[in-house]
Amino acid sequence: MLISQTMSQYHLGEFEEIVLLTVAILNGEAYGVSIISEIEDRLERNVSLGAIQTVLKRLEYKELVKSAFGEATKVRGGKRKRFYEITSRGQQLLNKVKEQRTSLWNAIPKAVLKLS
Amino acid sequence: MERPEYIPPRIILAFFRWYCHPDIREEIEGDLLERFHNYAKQNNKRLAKWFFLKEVVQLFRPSIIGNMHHLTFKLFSDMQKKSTVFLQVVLVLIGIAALAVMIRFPLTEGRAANLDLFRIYADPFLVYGYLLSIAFFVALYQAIKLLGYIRQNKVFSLNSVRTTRSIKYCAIVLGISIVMAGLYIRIFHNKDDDPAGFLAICMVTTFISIVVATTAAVFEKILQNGVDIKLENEQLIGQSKK
Repeated sequence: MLISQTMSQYHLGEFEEIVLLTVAILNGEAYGVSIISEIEDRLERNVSLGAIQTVLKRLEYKELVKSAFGEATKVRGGKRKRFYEITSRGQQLLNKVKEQRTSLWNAIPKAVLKLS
Repeated sequence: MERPEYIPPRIILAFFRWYCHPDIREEIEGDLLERFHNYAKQNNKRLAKWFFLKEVVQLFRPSIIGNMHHLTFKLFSDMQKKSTVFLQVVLVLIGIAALAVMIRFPLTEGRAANLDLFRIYADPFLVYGYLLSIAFFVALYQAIKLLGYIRQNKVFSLNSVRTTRSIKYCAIVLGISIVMAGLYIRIFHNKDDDPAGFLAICMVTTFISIVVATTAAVFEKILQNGVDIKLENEQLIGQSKK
């Protein structure tokens, strides 16, 4: 793949996590454009195609998502879509991340949260 | 291929196709076009073009470009073919125009009125000019040949090095001879005629020859380097095959 071998296989960056979650949300309908609009709708942040594609390639290299070509449409100039799907490894990692987050949240003393 | 409703700026798309790695080009180009289409539908077309440019620039990153083996200058190959033919035609036209001027001009000169044809053309200065023009036409011919090599993708060959070298020599010869002619007029015919116009032409043409000679010399060097590298590579490949 295009991503260097030295990159950590298990660490998930913030944006990678968002993209991986979105791929899971879209459930088989996830390709570049749909992922971007989903993230923009849900998180109200602007996402560039370059950022998304880079992250998708990286996730695929880490074997957290798998992809296959889909249909071509007229607006795409006859170019096929590449649909992404979460792998079991990706699901495991998401669960792990969620557990870690929850345990972090649970570890915060009640008094600290009240202050804000 | 079906044509989409909104068509993005071609040159930007060509730029994207050039740098994007071929393995991932199809899906990303599709995404780009779809995003452009959506944007053009919601906003106006002009804004969409800027948006498209922004997206293409943002995609210009190592993970999309990949290993760079595909980064040749194919982007210009189609354009190149047409433009080399066009330039060749222009050069031929320049040659014809120069020839026509050279033949017609002496006849229209004031002193031609009282002379017969032979005497008009036998003037030593004109003969000198005609001899010089050989260098000009040789250079022109070589330039047409060079464009031909470019079209056949044979730029990095010994032939094209030779061609640029001869263009360089022609330009040097032309430059020196024009300077000599100018000096001759300036020194020996200073009194009987006003040489300002002629000298001005001399200066301009000399300047052009110097520019051409320098450019040709630079190109010769570049091409020679290219050919050397190519030969070295071929030798290496030959050795590894053995």
